[in-house]
Amino acid sequence: MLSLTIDGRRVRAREGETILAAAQAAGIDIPALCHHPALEPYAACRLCMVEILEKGGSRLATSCNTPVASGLTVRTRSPRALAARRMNLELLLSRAPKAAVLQALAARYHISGTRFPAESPDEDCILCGLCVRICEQVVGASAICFAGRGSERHLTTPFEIFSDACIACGACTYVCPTDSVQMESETAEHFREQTGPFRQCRYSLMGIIPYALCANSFRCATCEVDQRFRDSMETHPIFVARECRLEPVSTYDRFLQKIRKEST
Amino acid sequence: MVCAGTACVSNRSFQIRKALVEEIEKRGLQHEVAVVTTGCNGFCAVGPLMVVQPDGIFYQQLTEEDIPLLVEEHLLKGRPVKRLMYTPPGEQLPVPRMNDIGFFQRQRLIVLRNRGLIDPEKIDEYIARDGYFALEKVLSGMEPEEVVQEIIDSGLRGRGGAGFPTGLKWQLTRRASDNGDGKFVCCNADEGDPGAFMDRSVIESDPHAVLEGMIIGAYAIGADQGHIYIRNEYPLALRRLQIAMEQAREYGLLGTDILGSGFDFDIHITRGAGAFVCGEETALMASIEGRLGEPRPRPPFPTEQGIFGKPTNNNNVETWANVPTIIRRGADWFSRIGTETSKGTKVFSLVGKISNTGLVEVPMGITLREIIYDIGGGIPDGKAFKAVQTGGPSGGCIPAEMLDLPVDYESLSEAGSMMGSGGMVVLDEDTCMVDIARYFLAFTQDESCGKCTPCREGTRMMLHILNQITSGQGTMEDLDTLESLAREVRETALCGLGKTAPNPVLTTLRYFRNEYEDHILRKKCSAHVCRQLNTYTIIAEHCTGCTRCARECPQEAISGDRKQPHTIDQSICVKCGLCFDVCRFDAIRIE
Repeated sequence: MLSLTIDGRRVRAREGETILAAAQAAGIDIPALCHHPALEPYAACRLCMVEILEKGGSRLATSCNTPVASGLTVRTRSPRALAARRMNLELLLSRAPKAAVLQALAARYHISGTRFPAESPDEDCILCGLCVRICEQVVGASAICFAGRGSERHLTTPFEIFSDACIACGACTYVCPTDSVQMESETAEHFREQTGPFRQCRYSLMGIIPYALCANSFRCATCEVDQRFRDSMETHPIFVARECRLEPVSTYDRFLQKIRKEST
Repeated sequence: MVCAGTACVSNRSFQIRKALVEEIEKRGLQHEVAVVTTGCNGFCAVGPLMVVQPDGIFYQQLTEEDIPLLVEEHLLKGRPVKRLMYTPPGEQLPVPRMNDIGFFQRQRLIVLRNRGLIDPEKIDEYIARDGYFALEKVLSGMEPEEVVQEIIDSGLRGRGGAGFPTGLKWQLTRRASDNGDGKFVCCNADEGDPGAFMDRSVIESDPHAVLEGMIIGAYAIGADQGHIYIRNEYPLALRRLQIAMEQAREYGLLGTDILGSGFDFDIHITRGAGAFVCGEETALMASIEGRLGEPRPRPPFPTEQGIFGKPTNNNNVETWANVPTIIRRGADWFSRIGTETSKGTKVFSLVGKISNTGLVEVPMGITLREIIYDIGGGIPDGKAFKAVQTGGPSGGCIPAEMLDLPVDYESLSEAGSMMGSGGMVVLDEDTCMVDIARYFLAFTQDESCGKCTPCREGTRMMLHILNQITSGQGTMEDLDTLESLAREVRETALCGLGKTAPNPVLTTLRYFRNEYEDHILRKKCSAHVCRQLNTYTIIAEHCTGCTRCARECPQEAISGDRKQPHTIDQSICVKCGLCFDVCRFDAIRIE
C-alpha cells in the first residue's frame, strides 16, 4: 500500500492501481464514460482528466490509465482539469445530444448547452467503445466493431453485414452507458433458425453451463434458466462466465494461435 | 552520377540514363566513363540532374536531346557545357561545380553523406564509403552497454518529431524485462506529412545506412527482430530497401551469426496502407500486429510493452541513419556539431514558395534565414516572404520577424511550432494565413482516427469555425471559441496527432491575428485567397468585350454587348473566380 493526496485528502492505494480506482475507493467521483473495471483502459472520452502536480508545474492526465505513485498530488476539480472536462463534455454533447448520461453530467457541470452544432440531433452513441471492447476482451466474440475514420466513426458489425459471431449474450447492451446499443430481433431470429445441435442456449455459449440446447425458442425473457441466473447474479452473466471458465480469447488471438500452430 | 530519386525519376531520369549509356557506347567511351545511378541528390527543383566526376560539374534540367551534345563536348572534348549548368536567379554566369552552388555550400552531410555518390542498389559501393565499418567495430569489440552509452553521450535526439533522447530510449528498452521472449527494434518510415520527403530520400539514396543503424541498435538493445514500417506509396524506397536487405543477408550482415559474432538479427518489412495516424508509434505497432491502426494510451510505454507486448525500441529513419556515423566517428565528434541541447544535423524538405525546392541537411542551430535565403535562394518572382510552416501539418507558422530564430528543438517549440519530422513549407505574401490554418486542419481532421473526443470532435469543430471565418460568416465570439477549443484539444488529446493538430491555428492566431480580424470585421481577405470574401468587378478600360468571361460564367452573372465593356451582377455572382482565371486582358479586379 502507498499513499497519495487527491483533492487535499490522503488516500491509500495499492501499487499498480489507477488514480481513478483510488479516487473512487475514497468516494471521490470522477466521470469516466469509456471506462469499465473489467476492460483494458481505453482513455478515449477524456472526461476523467485530472491535474497532477509535479515539481515546478503540473500536467493533465487521464486518471483511468495513470497508475498511482507514492506521494503524488492529484486535483480532480482544479480550474485546469475542469476546463478540460467541460470542453470535452461540450464536444460530446454535439456528437450525441440525446444521450441522457451526457445531459446529467452537463447539468452537474453547469453547462447549459453546446456552442457546437450537432451533426445528427437524434444521436445517442458517444463512441466510448465499451460494447466493442467487452465483446472482444470479455466475451471473445468480436461481433461488433467500429468502422470509419475520424468524425465518420460509427458502431457497426464487421463488414457491415449480419454478424454470426454474436452469441446474443447481451453484454454490449449491459455496458452501454447511453442505452444506445440494443439487441435487434434479427439476432434472436438468427438463433431460432438454427437446427438440431446448433440450437444452443446462450448460457451454454457463454460457458456458464455445460452444453445445453434451447427449449424455449430463444425467448430468454421468459426462460426459466435465464431467470434462475438473473436471480442469483448481481451482474451480467458474462462476468460470472469469465470467472468460471477458461480465460476468454478473442477471435484475433485464436487466429494468432492458429497461424503459430501452423508455422511450427 | 545520374540522380535517380523519385523527383528526377518522374522527370525521366531513367530514360536519360539509357540515352547516356547508348551515346557513350556509340562514342566508344564505355571503358573510360562509368554511368552511376545514385539516390536523391537533394536539389529537386532543377531535376533531372547529373554530376560529372571527378570535376564535380553539375548539370541540371536535362532532357534526352541534350545527351549527345553533352557527351561530345564534355566527355570527348573536355569542354563543359555552360548551357546546361545551373545559374542562380538574378545572376548572369553559371556555377559549374556542384560544391560552389549556394544550395550545397551551407549544408553539412551526416545522414545524407552518401547521397549522389553511390548507387544505393549496390552494397559494395556503400562498403567502399566505410559502410558497415561501424557494425564491425561494435560486434568485434564493444559491449552493448558501451554502444548505448556512446549514443547517450552523442546527444542524438529522435528525428521523428518529439525529440526524445535516443540513447535514453535504447537504455530503457535494454533494461526492460522481456521474460525471455525477445525484443524488437522498429523503424518508422511512415512519413505522411504533405510536402515532406526526408525519410523517402534517405532510404532511396542510402538504404544500408538505415539497416546498419538498426543492426547496431538491435545489438545494443538485445533485440533479435526488427520491423520497418514503410508507406506503400513509396515504391522506389521500398524496392531499394528490399534489395539492400537481400544483399546484406548475402554478405552475412543480416540473419544468423552476423559477421561471425554469434549475434542473430533479422528485419521484416510491413507496408502501411496510407493512414497518417499510423506514424504515431502506438498506432504503428498496432498496425504491424495486424490490428486497427489506432493509438493506445501510455503507460505502458512501447519500451516496456510494444509490438506483441514485447519491449520495442522505435526510431525514425533519419535517427537510425545517424547511428553508423556516430559509432564510426565517436560521440565526441558528433556532439560538437549543433547547439547545447540539439546535437548533429537535421534533414529538411524545403518546399512551397521557394526558389530551390529540395532536400537539405543542415547543422542544428542554423537560422531560418540561412536555410530560406542562403540555401533555398529566397522567394521566387520577387514576392515578399510571409511565414514558414515547420513540422508538417501539425507544425506552426513562424512569421518574417522571427527569421533569425535558430533551428533547434527548444526554439521551435517556444515559437509555438515544432521540429516535427522536418517539413518546411515557405509561404509568400499571396498566402492567406487563415486559409493555411484551415488547409492544415482539414488534413488533420480528415486523418484523425476518431478514437478520442477532443481530436474527433474538436478538430471537426475547429474546421467548422475556420470555414465560417473564411466564408465571411465568422464572429469575434467564434475567435474566442476557436482559441479555447484549440488549447483544450492540445491539452487533452490522446496522441501526438491530436495534441499537435491545433498548432497551425494557435500560431496563426498568435502571429497573424489581424488577418482573422480582417476576415471577421471587415469581411476582407488581403491575399484574395478566400473567394467568398472577394468582390469581382470588371475594369471598363481594360475590357475589350471579348465575351469570354460571360460565356464561362456558370451563373450567367456577366452581361454586356460584344466589343463593349461587360459588367458583373453582384447579386447573383457566386465568387467562383472563373472570370478572373479566363480573362486574357487583366480586366477583372478582385477586391
